[in-house]
Amino acid sequence: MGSQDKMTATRGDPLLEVRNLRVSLEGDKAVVDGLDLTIRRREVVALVGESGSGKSVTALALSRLLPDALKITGGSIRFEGQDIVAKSEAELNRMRGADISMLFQQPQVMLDPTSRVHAQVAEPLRKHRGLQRRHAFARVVDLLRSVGIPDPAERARAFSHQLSGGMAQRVMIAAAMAAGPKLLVADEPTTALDVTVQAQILRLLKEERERHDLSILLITHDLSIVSAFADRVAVMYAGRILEEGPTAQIMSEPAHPYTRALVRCSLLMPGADGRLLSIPGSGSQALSITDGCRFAPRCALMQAHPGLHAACQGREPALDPVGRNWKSRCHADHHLLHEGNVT
Amino acid sequence: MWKVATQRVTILVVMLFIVSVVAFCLPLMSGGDPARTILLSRVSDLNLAPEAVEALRRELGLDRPLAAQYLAWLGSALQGDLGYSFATRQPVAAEIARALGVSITLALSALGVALLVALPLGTAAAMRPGGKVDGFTTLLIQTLVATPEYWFAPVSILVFAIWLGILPSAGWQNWQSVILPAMALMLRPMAYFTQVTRAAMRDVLEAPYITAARARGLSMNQAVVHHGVRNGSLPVVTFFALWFAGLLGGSVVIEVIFAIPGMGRLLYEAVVNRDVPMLQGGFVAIVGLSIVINTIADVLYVVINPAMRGSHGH
Amino acid sequence: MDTRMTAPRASLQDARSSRLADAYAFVASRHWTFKVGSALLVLVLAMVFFAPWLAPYDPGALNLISRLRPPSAEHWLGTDHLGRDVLSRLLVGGQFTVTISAITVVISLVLGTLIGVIAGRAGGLLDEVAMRVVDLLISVPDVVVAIFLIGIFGPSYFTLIFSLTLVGWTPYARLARALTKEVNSREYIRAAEVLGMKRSFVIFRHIIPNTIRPIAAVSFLRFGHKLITVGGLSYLGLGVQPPNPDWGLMLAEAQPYLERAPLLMIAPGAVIFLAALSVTWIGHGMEIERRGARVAGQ
Repeated sequence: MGSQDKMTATRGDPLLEVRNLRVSLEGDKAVVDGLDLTIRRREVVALVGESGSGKSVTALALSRLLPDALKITGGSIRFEGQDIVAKSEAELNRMRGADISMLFQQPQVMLDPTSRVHAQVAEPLRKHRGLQRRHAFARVVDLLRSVGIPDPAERARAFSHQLSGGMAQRVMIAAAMAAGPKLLVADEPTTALDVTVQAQILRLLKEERERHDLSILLITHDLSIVSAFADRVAVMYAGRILEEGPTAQIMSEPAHPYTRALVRCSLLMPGADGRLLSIPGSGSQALSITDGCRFAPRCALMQAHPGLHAACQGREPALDPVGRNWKSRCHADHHLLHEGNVT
Repeated sequence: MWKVATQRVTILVVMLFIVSVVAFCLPLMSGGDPARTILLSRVSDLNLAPEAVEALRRELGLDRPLAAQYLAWLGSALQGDLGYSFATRQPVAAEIARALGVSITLALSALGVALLVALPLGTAAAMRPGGKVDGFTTLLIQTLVATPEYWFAPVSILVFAIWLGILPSAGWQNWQSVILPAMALMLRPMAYFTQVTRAAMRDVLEAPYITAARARGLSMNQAVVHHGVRNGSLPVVTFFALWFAGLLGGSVVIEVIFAIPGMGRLLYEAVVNRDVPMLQGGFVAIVGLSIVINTIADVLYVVINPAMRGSHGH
Repeated sequence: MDTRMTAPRASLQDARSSRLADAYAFVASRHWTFKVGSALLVLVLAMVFFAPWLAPYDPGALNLISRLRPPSAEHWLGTDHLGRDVLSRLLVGGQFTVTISAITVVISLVLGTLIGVIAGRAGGLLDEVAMRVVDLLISVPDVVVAIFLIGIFGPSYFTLIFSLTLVGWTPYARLARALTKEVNSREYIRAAEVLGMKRSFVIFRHIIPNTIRPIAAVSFLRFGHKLITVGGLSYLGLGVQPPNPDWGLMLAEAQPYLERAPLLMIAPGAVIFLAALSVTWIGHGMEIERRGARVAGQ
């Protein structure tokens, strides 16, 4: 799907462009508040954040599958240049599965327990490619084989409760890829799986990207996956992006104090006093902060530099460039940026 | 799993035994002498010769101890012989079989239509909780549940048989005979089926696999039809069986109103006629069937629900 | 949520008036059907209790001259096939049905709840067997049991109540057991046991208060069901015997005159319907607020 020439020709245009996205709970409380995100073709972007940061909501918003209580109250989502916030339900049904697909956290509950595997994997084929039931079954078996499921013909006739976690996720991947989408939004696809299976699934996703000219938005809280897998990282906190840039650079030399803290925690390296690090305070109140940086109450950099207090607590910083294709939302001057980085 | 099965079968058998003892003994304890009753109905002469009564008693085995009578009856019953009706002189078992056929037809008709209405209505109500369909459904359920079928029946007779003249007011001749009684019988099951379906579908609609199906491109309606309905209708299956078991005797009032020769009316007439064998056989049949159907429904539920078939603990 | 576990009130006076305020707040927050249902039920009960004084005529007074008359100024609902005033018979006719149904519900409630709670607390084999019996009995039609027993022992009040209770306790047992299981896991039960309180004490002082609302809701619904069942039995002649007035009996008596005087059939049926509807509305309304919120276990 997609030749080399075609890819390089459209390389420049972003596949997905999210500008200032705002998703509110029951009309007033904004769970995603001014989110900017860009994904290019064949790019793997990781959206990283703690629980409550709004990353899962973002994932559902991109496919327009938000539950009734959550509504998009601002901003735009442009997929291949078209704003999908404005699209009708019928157009969205055509888009889902064929242009944008999703993966979810607990694959076994995402399958209908009373329906066999092949019926569900065949749905995108029958809906978007118009395949008849007989032909669809053969194609499903091929798909299952391509995602590494042994005995695919057998498995195709199974029910969801007969599948292990890893197997179920492979099935979901097969279903997600069936109609050849350009963007795969994967919401914590490996979190519920065993560590060994995690690696297999990630490897599989990498293969799919190579084979099918696929972009992936990987939502996770696990930074180790990010380093191994993503081209770019976007760090999310309290409904907005705090830092965004190339993985290698952000992971090794984070520009934003929050990212820095996350990296340190994930490395499980003891601090100066020998104790394991954690980020002090809690993020539960962050969403209600309207003036100033939302991370300020927990920011180690701000604590260390009283001169920043006024700015950090008074004005919300903008997402400014700090390098090539690299942005950070922080008031700190350039020379302070990488302070405290551990190599 | 086998432990549970044996336990259930044991309870089933014990209960059937208790029911059979009750069904057999109670009618004989009411004080009336069955032999006298038979003779009276045959001879219609209030001066019965005591010798004749005694002779008949011995003939019918009524002079033996109760336990012996019961065992004799049980033995015959298990071979399909439930004695002869005092009123009609026909074999009880045959009468029951005939009446059962009628009741089953009536019950299935009523419940079938009830289900046909309940599934889409319950689903539609669940899709928009608090909406107009939902509110209407609640009111409908409440109204149906509170409507006495023996009030609805004469009203429908008045409208369709007397004023419009398009349906028969009584009897069991052809398919038209089924319509009015089935209509009266389906009111309450329709209410309960709808209620159960709505509750089940509410849970199903929030299920993750519905979202996943939509992520594959299915519209909400398609996702509900292909995945929601099957999952949401499983609870109704149990209910259907329960109601079916209940209607087999429980439709007595309707059967009397419409003069339909069903199980309920059979029992009722046995009561009116003091027809002891029919009373015994009829009661055992109705209650016993109820219990057995219930058990079968349980088994069926496990079979239908693939998730419960496997060895995975749920 | 156990409101009884909150701190003791300042004074008994405050306790009484705030309980009243709680009750008022509860009723005010209900769906309109609850309120209308309650009013209707009060009306029906008033009709039943005050019938002897409210009835314009003696319900048994025959008047063979003015038979099957349509509604008029003297007879608001007309007269039946024996010239008796329909309205008077209607007013008095509820006594039997309502009383029998109420008594049946109360006894079934007590019996079923007790069995359910004991089964739920005991667990193990007792629980298994009890629930299995409930499962099997719950589908046996109470009408059939009633017909059988009344047919043998005669249409006495006792037989009627007994036969209806025989199978009628099962829904309460199931509900009570489910509630008990749920309450079982709550902390204060364990605390009470640790403190050495007797099992029966635990059952009566802790479990039952918390389960009152769902059980009350079910009771109202079952009451409606019983009204209809008892009415049906009277229709079959197994309840009140003629010439006493009774709603079900009136329906049966109206059958031959369906075409000539439909009101004879419509009136008693309508009353049974309204009575059943009112308690159904109350039963449903106990767990729903204003507009279409979720009902627990609906």
